[in-house]
Amino acid sequence: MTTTAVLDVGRAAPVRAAGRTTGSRTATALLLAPAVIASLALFVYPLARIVVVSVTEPTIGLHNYAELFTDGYTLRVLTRTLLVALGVAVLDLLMAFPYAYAMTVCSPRVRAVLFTIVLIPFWTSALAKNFAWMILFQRGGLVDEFLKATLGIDYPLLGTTPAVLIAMSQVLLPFAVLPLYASLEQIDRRLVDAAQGLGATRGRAFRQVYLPLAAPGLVAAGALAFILSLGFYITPALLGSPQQTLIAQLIMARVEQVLDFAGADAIGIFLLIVTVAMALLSRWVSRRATARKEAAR
Amino acid sequence: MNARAGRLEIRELVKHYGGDGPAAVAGIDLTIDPGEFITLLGPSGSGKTTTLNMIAGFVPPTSGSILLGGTDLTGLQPHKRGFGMVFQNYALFPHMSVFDNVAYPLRQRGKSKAEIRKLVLDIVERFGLAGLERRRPAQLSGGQQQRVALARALVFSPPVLLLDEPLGALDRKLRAQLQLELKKLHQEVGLTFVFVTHDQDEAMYLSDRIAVFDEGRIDGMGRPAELYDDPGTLFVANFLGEANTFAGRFADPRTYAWNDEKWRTGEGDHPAEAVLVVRPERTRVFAPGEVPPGWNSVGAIVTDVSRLGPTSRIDLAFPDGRAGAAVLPSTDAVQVRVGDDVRAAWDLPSQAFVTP
Repeated sequence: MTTTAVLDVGRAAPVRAAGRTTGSRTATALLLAPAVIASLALFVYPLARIVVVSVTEPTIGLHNYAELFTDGYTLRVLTRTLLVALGVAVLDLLMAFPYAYAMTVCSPRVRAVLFTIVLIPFWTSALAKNFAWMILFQRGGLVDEFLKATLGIDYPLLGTTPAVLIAMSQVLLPFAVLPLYASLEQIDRRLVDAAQGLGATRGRAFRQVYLPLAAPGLVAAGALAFILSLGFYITPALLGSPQQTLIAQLIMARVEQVLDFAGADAIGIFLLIVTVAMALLSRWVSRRATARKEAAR
Repeated sequence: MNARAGRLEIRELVKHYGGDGPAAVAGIDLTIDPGEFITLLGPSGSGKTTTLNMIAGFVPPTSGSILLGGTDLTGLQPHKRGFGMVFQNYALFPHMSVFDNVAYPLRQRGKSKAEIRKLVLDIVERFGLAGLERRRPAQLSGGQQQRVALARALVFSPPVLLLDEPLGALDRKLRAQLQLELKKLHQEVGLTFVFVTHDQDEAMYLSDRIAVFDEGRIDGMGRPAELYDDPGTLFVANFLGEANTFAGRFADPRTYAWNDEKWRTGEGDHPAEAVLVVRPERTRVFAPGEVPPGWNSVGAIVTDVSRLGPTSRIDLAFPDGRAGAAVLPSTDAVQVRVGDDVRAAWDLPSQAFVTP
């Protein structure tokens, strides 16, 4: 949830500060109370505990963090995780952009169908989706047989990073399509007509007018897919290779196999810092693009 | 700018958007002379914008053709037609500066950097936008945006300028000011202007000729004053200004009967089935028995009297229950009150017969 807020996805309508009275202030406090209490108890406190544990056990100091950079392994896993997340973001954008674009130009009835198609995997259990991919990817599975029959490639995908990449892209596709659609829908299509009327070919009108205006939406949608990818556990655990773990699996392994809670905590905090940094970076890029666009409303 | 200008001819243009609905444009014939300011006027859904979009090339016609200086443009992509176009709400590129907006059509035409710079700075200067080149459209006032849109549409010296309700979104005062600028601009550049609007005052003020659109057809066509005085059809009479209308019949070729009234028809031919129309400003109000000899008149009840600055308006109810009005200069003192029984009267040159 924090990531969504940081990313500005689906920009909220500006809230008008109504004339506040003492009574409504009490009401506001009461309305906020359950969420604030839940968040303090279930998020802020455990997170604080994790931070504390990571710097106090077994002895006080930053050695748990220092280890991340010196063991040679954590950084490799982190790099792999970032690369997979980047791949997922790119794949999702490549699929989401034409799809969301089509949604802005089709009839309302077709749009409703396209929406439903995007949302169906969204409503499906994560385990069901991953098991479905396992069956498709396994040796002798549909994808394996298809690759052998048509391209002569004997490369069972199950247990490889490409399998993880494909499955994660599918799971995260709605997260790219929906914000992208919301953003593309705001673009005045008459501008593309105007460019053509002024002498631009269709391709140039698209490149010079549509794409720059779509950039903030593309950045936001890509960033959302990227950031959500960083924390994926089930998909790499089921479809990936134990030799090529991603960072969430590494944390799990520390906890379950080595009982090194402090080490796991340190990786978790480190991942959190990287994630927030990425979110801020993408927000900055998106803001710059938006500023260019909105300089102009 | 005039050298390449040619006559724009539209022949039997039809647009059917599919389905069983009526055609959006149901057969338009229109010849526009070089340098003419022609307005396509009509209510929304009358086909005027579709016609303009077909001229521009954004909408492919179902049938018919569009020719410029004898060359058929019908199948051509918009970017190959070379028309200047000003869009509704201007469609300025929000991510580009004023300079880049105006330079856009020149860049598409592969002009050299030096030439682009010279042409853009010239026209920016001419449109009173000097010093604003680096601004973005959102940082400009409505009037400045319109001038950028015009500069962008004219910078490459197109033979024809198409304008799609360019003043639609503006407030009244700015609108009046920009109408004046537009009229002056047309006189200066001598280009063919094809202007779309639903605002009849704007059309009357700006145009050399007006084509009034209704349900995909041109219902009336002519110089503004001619069209106003002799609208030809009831639709044009009602759309172009206001009209008191009386749907009666000819008792004989020189007598028109409506309700209990018998009116003289004057000289000239009239359509066999016709509606008599009189403009409110040519309608006068008299006490019964004081109507000047030779005038036609009808009984009416005064329903409202209002003074609108230079003119005063008397709203009337005719015997068939329909509303009408007389509009007089405020300097003519009229002694009528709401509820008075009066005669609304007009002389023969003030009436026109139109087809229903």
